[in-house]
Amino acid sequence: MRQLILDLMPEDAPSFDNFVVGGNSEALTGLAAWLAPDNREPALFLWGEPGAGKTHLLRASPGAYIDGAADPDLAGLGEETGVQAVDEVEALSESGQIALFNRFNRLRGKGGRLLVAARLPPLQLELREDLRTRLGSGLIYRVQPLTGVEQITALAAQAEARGLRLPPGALDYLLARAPRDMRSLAALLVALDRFSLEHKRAFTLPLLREVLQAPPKT
Amino acid sequence: MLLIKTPRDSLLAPLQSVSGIVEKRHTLPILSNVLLEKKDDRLTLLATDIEIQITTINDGAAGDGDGAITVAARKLQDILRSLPESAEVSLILDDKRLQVRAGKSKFSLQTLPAEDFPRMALSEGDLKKFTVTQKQFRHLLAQTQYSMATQDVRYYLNGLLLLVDGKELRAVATDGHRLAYASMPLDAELARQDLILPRKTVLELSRLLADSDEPLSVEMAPNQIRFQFGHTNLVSKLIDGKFPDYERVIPPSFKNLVSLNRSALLQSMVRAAILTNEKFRGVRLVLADGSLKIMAANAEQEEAQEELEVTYQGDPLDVGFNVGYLLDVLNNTSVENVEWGFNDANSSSLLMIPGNDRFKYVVMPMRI
Repeated sequence: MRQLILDLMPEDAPSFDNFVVGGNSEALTGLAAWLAPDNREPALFLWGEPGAGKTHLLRASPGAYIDGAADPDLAGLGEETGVQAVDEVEALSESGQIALFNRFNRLRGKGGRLLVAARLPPLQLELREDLRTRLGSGLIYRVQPLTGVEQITALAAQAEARGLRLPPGALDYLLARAPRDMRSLAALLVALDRFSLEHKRAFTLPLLREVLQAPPKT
Repeated sequence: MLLIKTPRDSLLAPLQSVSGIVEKRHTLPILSNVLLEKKDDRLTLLATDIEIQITTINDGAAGDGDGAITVAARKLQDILRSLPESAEVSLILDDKRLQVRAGKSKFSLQTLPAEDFPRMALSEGDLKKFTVTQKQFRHLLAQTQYSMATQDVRYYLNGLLLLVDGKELRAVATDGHRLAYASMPLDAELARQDLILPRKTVLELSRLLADSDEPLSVEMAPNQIRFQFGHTNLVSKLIDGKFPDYERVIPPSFKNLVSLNRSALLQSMVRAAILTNEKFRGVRLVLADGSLKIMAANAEQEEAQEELEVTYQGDPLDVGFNVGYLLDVLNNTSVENVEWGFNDANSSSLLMIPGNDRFKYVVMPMRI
């Protein structure tokens, strides 16, 4: 039998405050300026490897969010006039690409804006040519993944927000053995937190080892 | 110089009040000591572990002179306790030693200077004050304290949330598996403030507070709390941290509600608990029309089954719980009936007292 735990610590919603900037100050400044109400630029494109922080930035931005991997046809694309964020455009289906293309073409008239993210820059995306050129026509920023040191700082801050005191060397241990992207690392920290609460066990290196070997199901 | 001459109990009782917090081992040797201070006819005893400080003040002490000294708390307590109840005890300051005399018994104890004894600074500033009876506060603690975590890495769980809001005082404790909530009315109207009492402070208060209508006055400062009751004054530091938002884990509604006789349920649980697995202590509850079955099995394949007649008509439910968490709440409430609300076998359940919304106990199931 497994003890279930109370949901005491909801995960913080992504915000600009809890985004660890790392080498992305230029992208962040650019995004903030683009989000300003008086900005006239209709589209902004973010690209970078998985776990670099694109989704975090998209979700932190005000407006509607839609994930191309979860909704490849963009069925949930509304007729909103504000900021529309579209994540993982490389996963869009043919009809999803058409929907996005049409949305682009209507932007100027309606005054809406598009915030788009992908793993690759527009030039290398395998999408319809007309959509690809639209995506490449606006502002483009690369989101850089955090360095190892920055990841440790970010994880330590997340641990502290959860009231966890980590044993010395715990984060180095994690970084040396777990997938190196921030998304996986943050998810692992949550899993460790829940595991330690479920079993009422202290955060120790043996506990880290146990969780890393058999990640608990949530 | 004769510091004090007094019946045994008028020394032992205040000593026992303060010495509960004295740690057996401490890096600072003087913290094993208790401070005795005699001025005119007033005897003050003070003990501290740096986090908590307890003082008792008693008037009517007889002796030849004034003085202050610190002496091993536990040894003095052991000596006094083993003396006859009727003994007349004299404490005599003799150079750097403290003599304890009673009848033909004589003890000579090492001392450390009173000036070296650490005292907590009383914080000033924004104080929230209220007065309740000792019994009320003791009851509030009793309803919740068993849900505190013991040695969690999340230090804020090893304590009890105390919250004043308007004319209400609330206490909440949780270890992440279950949560106990209790509230009581206040006479004073106070702006909202919360703080986390350390576990040790909660246990000490429960031990010291009397089951009486005598007043307990509480002063909440941003980083300190002070309790004054009888001859005793307790000052405690607080746990620095953010207590989880308890309101979001209390289920607002449930699909199934069953009313149960508390003591019948308790007795069944106690019996079923005998054959639970020692490590997990899981019991399985099967709720169906008119019946609640409580089942347990241990690693040796031994089994227990209890059945209670209940007035229940609804969906059948099959859910597991740590029996310890159920025994805790049933043992710490003294009402005739309890109500238990469920949603499904994977969501939190809520134990309540019918007609009393001042108590709530949320407990998470075990996955069978």
